Amino acid sequence: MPDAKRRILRRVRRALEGRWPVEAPTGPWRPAVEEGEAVERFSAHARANGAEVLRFTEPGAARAWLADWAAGFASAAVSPQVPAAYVPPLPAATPAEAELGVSRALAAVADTGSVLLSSSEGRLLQLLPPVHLVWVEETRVLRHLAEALEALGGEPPASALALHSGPSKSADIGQIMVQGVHGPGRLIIAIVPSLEDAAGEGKTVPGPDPAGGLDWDAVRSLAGRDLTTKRGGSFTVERVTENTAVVRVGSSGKTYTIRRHCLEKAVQRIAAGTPISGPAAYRRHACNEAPAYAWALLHALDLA
Amino acid sequence: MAKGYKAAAKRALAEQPQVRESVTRATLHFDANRARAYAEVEAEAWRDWAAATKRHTLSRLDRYLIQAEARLLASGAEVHWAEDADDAQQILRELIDRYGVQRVVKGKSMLSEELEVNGLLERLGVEFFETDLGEYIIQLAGEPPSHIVGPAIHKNLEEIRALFHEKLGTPPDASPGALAAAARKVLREAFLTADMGISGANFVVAETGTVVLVENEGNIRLSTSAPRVHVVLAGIEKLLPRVCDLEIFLQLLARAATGQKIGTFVSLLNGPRRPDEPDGPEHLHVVFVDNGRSSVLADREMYEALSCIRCGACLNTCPVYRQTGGHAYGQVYSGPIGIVLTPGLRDPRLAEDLGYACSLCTACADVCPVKIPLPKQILTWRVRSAKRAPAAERMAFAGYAQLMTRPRFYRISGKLLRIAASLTGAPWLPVLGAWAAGHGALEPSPKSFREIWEEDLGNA
Repeated sequence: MPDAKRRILRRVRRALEGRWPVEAPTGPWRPAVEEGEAVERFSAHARANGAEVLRFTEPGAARAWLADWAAGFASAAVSPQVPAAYVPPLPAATPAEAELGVSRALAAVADTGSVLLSSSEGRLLQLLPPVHLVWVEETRVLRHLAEALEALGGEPPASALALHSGPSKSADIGQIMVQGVHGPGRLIIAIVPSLEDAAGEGKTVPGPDPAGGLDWDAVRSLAGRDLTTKRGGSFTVERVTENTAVVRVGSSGKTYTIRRHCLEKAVQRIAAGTPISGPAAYRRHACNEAPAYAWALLHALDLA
Repeated sequence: MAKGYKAAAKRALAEQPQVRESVTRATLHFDANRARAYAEVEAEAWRDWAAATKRHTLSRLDRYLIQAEARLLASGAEVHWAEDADDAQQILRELIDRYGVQRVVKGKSMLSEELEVNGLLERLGVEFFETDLGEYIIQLAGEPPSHIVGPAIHKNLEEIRALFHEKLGTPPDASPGALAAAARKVLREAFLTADMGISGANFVVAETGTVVLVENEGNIRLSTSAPRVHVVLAGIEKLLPRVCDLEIFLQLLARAATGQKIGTFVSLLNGPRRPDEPDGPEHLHVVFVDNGRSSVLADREMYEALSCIRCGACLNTCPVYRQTGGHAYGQVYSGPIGIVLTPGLRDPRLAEDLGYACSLCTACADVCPVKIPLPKQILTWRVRSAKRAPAAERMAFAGYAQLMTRPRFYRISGKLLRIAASLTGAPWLPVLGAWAAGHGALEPSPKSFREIWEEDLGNA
């Protein structure tokens, strides 16, 4: 249909003719932040979704548990990205035949209780075995979905990323919940301090740094302050919440929400040696949301 | 057989009382979960934000479509454009020929229903499997889906047991788990031997060309991972500008649909399998489908309906839908969103019938995650269809308007009516037809309100 595209776009343009474009709202909203650290919130949410969550503080304890637990299975399909020390001592099998699939998560998300998986380790081993074990590094447990989704920005790391948030389920038969319909009926998420040290050969998987190197309390201390943008426009920092800073522009009274992780990203870039000398550089290197005010915040903290 | 929603609803309620029972139970359950899940977050702010983001996307749809196409091509996908169902079927036919496809696995897609893909596959002699458990049930039963999210909610456990007993040979008293296991066995084999997977798309991110799919069973992940070809059918309104927009949309969709925090499986697809990856489809095709959407976009009173993310919340909360289920509407999309979208996508005259499958209670507007003004739009369809009403009806209402806007006429006609009613009872009631059937008989008071008011004032 070589002309279909042209005709569809022409009809869309004609439909929109003479209408004002609607501006996109600034910054996505964040769920209200619950008390508790990310790993605890992640565990609670993943369990509520029906996943089993284990947290190990010692690599030795994780390996001992694995050896013991894996004895209940006959075979496993294991991601090449799982370090040898965390591979169950089982005969290897294809994903279609294996009783256990073992993955390594790129990240985990506290808000939703999800693990982020990559197709670079193979998709079928995440789906076909009836039981799915996912290793997660503690530092890769992120607070919000957007932080995990950043992995998609720029150049996506694989052809398919997936968020798994519990065992496969359906209530299509008379509203009665059944587990393990097509995908795994059990999802076991094991959190360990590091997947690098124990094996010394595990590949480093790039992921966002949750801490970001930004002292949020310093940002908090800006609340109520009057600041100016690089071009001299004055604005007020209305309030600073757990994840956002809200600014009000003096001249128009309009408010903008600046996201914490945008600022964190900018600070990371600066730490990595990329100078962010003004709003334009901020927009290019960090985030395109309210760059004039975001940059001014960083400038007020002597960070940019 | 009489046609239209009213007749179908009457038939369904009389002949299949179990449908009403199943649908009411399921929708009450969904709706209660939705209400609980909304209460856990700043739902009002999320919904405002999501509504604004969708309106923005629609207002620049041409640019976002071009951006999405460019990103998809860069990721190695092929992009096709279909103006209508015929175009889309033609594209599918060519792909099936090109890859020598014999077996297809399908993920749940309402667009595929719109395009009648199953009919095409049947005609081409291609074996196909609906892989969502609910869709598989209705495929076995030879029925269309009755709900956007739960296609088989009109069937109770007994019916599904009998169906599986007949078609798959499961015991007549099998448990839900055993029934699901029987379906899993058939479909597992299908996933591993199919040549092509066909899915819809919940979102397409323009910034990155990412196709996003949301589900609970894992069947869509399998349909898009195991076969060597994956075809995505995406309505042109499915776009989102940025990856970070997914944060709210994924959570809002799940909360509105079933009360979950997020769909159990979310696929974020960026092109076909890469050389260093162990598995995945070798070819990814994305078909952008118009099929009436650009005409809805051109309709300034209706275009907001294109914001719909197909969560089914308006169906679950609708007191009319709860009684009859989706089949009575006789269309792909049922419930409030179906009433608004169907006449725009297909034929405005359908509003003459569908517009009245609604009590204008406005519950749907309160739950819609993207704040589509559904009740207002349904009313607009009614106003439009009233312009084509029979001459007698239009004259009657014109006369009524004259009467109600002139105090003297109003007073005289009220008096006449009371006198007539005291002499004859109310034999004129049947003239009002369906309205009178749903209301108690009118017993006019001997005096009008005005008369009582004036007398009381006089006495005071």
